[in-house]
Amino acid sequence: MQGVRGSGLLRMLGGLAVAVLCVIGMTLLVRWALPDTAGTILAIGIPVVALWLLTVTAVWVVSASRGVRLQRWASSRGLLYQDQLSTAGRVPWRGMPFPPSGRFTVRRLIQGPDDFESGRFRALPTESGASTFLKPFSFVRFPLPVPVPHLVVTNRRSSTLSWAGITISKGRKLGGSTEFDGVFTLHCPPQYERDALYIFTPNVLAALLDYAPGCELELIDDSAYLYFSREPALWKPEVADALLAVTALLRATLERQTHRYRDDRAADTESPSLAALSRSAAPTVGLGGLRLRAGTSHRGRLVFALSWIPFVLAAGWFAWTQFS
Amino acid sequence: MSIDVDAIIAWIAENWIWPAAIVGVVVLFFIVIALLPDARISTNPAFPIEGDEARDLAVGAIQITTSFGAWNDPEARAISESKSLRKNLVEMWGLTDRASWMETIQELPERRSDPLRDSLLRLRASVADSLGRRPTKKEWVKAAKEHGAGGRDVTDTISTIVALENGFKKKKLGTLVLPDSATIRSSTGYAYGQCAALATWGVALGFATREEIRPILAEISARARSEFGSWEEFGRSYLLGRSLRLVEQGMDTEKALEKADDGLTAYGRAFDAKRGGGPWSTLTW
Repeated sequence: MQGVRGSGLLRMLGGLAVAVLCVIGMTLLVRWALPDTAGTILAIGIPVVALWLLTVTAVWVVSASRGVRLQRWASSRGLLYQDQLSTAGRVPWRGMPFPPSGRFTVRRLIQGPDDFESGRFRALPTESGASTFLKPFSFVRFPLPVPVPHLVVTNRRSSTLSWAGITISKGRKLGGSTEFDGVFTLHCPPQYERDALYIFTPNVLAALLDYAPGCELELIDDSAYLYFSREPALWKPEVADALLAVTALLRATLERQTHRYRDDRAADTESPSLAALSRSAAPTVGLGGLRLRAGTSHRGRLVFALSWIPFVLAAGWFAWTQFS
Repeated sequence: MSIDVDAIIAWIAENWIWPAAIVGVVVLFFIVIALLPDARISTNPAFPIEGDEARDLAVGAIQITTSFGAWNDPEARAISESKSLRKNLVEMWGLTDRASWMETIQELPERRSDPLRDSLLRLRASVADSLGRRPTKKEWVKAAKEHGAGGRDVTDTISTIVALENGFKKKKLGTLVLPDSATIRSSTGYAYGQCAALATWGVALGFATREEIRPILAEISARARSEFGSWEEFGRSYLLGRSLRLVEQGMDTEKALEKADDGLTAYGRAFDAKRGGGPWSTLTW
C-alpha cells in the first residue's frame, strides 16, 4: 500500500502549516510596518490567501483521493502502482514523444507482470531549456512478440504526437490504401510500405478505431505504445478496467499480426565473420526500418516561439527604459 | 607580514635530513606500489582451473569475480555461505525458485538485446572489415545514413558507444582492453557472461546441482564461442554491454565508466598479463 508516507500527506500538512505561519507573520509585519493601512491590506489580503490555500488543499485532496482509488484498483488486479515518479537521466521508454534523456515526471504509473505499463509523462525543463515546449501525454506500453519496423498510426482528428511537439519527417505516409484514410495516417520508413500494410491490415485499424478512438499507436522495436492527449480517468474502476480490456484486445490483434514477421533485409548489415549468430542476436529488422525520423511539429514550434515572448518583451522594455 | 625566505633556507640547510626523509618515503611508497604485481583473479583451489568445466565457467569470469565469487567455482560458495549476498541476489534478479532462475537464464540474451544498437554495431563491424580498421564516428554515422538509418536515436546510440569506448581508452588498462586495431562487434558478450554466472548462482541458491548446470554452462559457452573469435573480443563485448546497460539504467556515460572500473580490473586479472596466469591466458578460446 502507498500509506501515509508515500501519499504526500505529510508534505502537504507541512506545507499548510508553513503557509499559515507565513500568513500570521505577514499580518504582524503589516500591522507593525503600516499601522495606518493595515486594516485595508488585511481585509483584502487574508481572504485572497485563504482562498488560494483552500484551492490548493482541495486540488490536493482530489488528486490524493484519485491516487488512493487507483492504487486500490491496481492492487486488486495484481498491478504495481506509483503515484509519481520524478527523476533525471535516460528515459526508459523509446517512443517518439519521449526525449532520450533529461528530467521528467510520470504520474499514475501502473506496471503489470506481463510488461504492461501506463502513465502520464511530462518532460521537465532542463538547464538548457530543452523539452519545455513538450505537452504532457498519457501512454500505454505493451510488448510485441518480435521486433518490427518503426510504424506510427497518427490520428487525423486529434494528434497527440503533434500536440506533444512531434512530427514525422522523411517517412512514407500510406494513403489511399484503406477505408480508414479519413481517420488515420500510417507512417513507415522508406521501402517498408509492404511491411506496414502486412502488419496494419484493415482489421487492426478497425480494432484501433473501435477500442481506442482518438488514440495514436506507435510500434517501435518490440514494443507498442498507445498515446492519449487527455488523461483517461483511470481512478474510476470502470475506465481502468476498460483500458485493460482494450489493451488486451489490441495486444492480441497485434500479436497475431506480428508474430511471424521477418524482414528479409535484416541480413544486409551482417558481418561475414558473424555468420553463426545465436538466435537471440540475429537481426529481425533491417537497419533502415528501425527508426522513423522525428522533427518538431508546427504546434511545437509555435509553443516554443510563444514561450519566448515574455523574455523578448522584458528585454524590449529594459532596452526602451534604458536608452530612450 | 613578510616571509623571511633566508630564514627558511637556513632552517632547511640545518635540518635537511627531515625533508629528505619525507620525500624519500613518498618516492619509495610509489616505487613499491608500481613494482607490486596486480592482485590475482579470485580462484577457489577446491575446483579445477583446467578442462571443459573451467573453460565454460571462464565465460562468466568478470561477472562472477565482480560479484564476490571465484571464477572457477561452479557452486558459487561465496554466495551460498553468505545470507546477505543470497538475499541481494534474490531481490536483484527476482530468483525466487527454480522456474524463475531457469527463465531468467533463457530470457537474458533477449532482454539484453536492443535491435537498433545491435544493428548499428553489426554495421560498424562490416565497415571495419572493409576499411581494415575501426571506423571513426563520422564514418559510422555516414554508413548508417547510407543504410537508411538516421535521426535522433541513431546518432544518440552511436555517440554513447563512441563516448564509452573513448572512456575505456583513457583508463589504466585502456590499451589492453581496446587497442586501436580492435573493433567491438557486438555487446552480447555481457549477456553470456551474466548467464554463466547466473547458472552458478542457481547452485548457490539450491535450485540446481553442479551436475545439472554442466549442460547449461556448455551451451552458453558454445554460443559465445560461435559469436566471438577470442577471449579479448568476448571480454571487450562484455565490458561495452555492461557499460551500455548502466547508461540504459539512467547513468550518464561518465558515471557508467566510473562504475565499470571494476569490470576493467577484472578483465586485466582474467588475463593476468604480467604473469600469464589468468584463465583467459591459460585456457584456449
